[in-house]
Amino acid sequence: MRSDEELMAEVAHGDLSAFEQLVRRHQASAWNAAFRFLGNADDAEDVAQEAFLRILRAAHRYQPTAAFRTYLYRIVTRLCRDHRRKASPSSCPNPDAAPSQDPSPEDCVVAREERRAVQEALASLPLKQREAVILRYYESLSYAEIGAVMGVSRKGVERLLARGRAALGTLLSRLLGN
Amino acid sequence: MRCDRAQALMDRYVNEGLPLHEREPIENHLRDCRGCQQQLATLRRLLAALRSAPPPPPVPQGFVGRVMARAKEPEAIVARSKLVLSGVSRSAWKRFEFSAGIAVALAAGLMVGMFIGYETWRADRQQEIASATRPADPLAASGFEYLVEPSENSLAQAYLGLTTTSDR
Repeated sequence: MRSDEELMAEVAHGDLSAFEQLVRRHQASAWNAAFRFLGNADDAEDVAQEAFLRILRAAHRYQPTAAFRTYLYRIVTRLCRDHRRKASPSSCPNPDAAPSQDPSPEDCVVAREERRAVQEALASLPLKQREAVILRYYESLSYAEIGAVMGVSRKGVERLLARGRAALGTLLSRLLGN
Repeated sequence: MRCDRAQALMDRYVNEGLPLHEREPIENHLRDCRGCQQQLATLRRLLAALRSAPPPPPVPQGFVGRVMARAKEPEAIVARSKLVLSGVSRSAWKRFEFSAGIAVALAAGLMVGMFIGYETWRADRQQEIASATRPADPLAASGFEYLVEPSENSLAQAYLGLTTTSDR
């Protein structure tokens, strides 16, 4: 199987089938991150599509200095920031936007309330803390990768995550039993 | 290990396989430090709560097809080819600039060389012409020096006056 970087080299020469392979391989990462950042399926699809098209348009400038996945997350993160800047303040991530799960014995009212509390707490974090928390705990990026995506140092990532966790701990103190 | 260092490493301790040289000190510290044990328990509860959030819905059906359709739209192709061409023309222009610089430097060097050569040749030629056209000096050729008439009040004239016998 060809690596992402090899595929990008072919995309730079106009090979659309190589581009399609990249889209198939990374669609879930782009979509999940965009959905977590924006909390809305329509906006998330717009951003994820636009991210891939930007990669296609800029393929001839791509330098494989970092993993392709990091490059993709960086574009998705920037597009989400732009989207949120342009959108009205009322278009904050909507905790109810996540799809409802099939009813199960575990999916009781209390569990739903807990999930809602977590999503509201996440949505209330300052933008950069929220981005760092999502990239770390949902997308499982390392500190170095988060730094590359967000354009901050490793120490900066540590600080953002520490503040984010502290804020979430306070907001969810009842839930966490502190 | 101090508490602040242990707490700074806690996130990586829980989420990543820390290498042994980092894991051992934190585990030794945790055995003895009740405060850090509580911090670790709180972190684990927080991460469990975060992960209890529902996952995003699956990628919408037909996502790849929609991206590819947009990639094949004429304006997308034009925009891409313009970018590629601008990249190509930029690199071609850079190559031209480099070659032109070298050519100008070589031409300038050649012109300076030709000028210096011409000046040297001209000086040599003038010297040759001058020596060829100089009239032959018979006195110089026979070893005589020029005889010069001394001025009236000169010491030489006075000496001649004393030594010369008058014909009167």
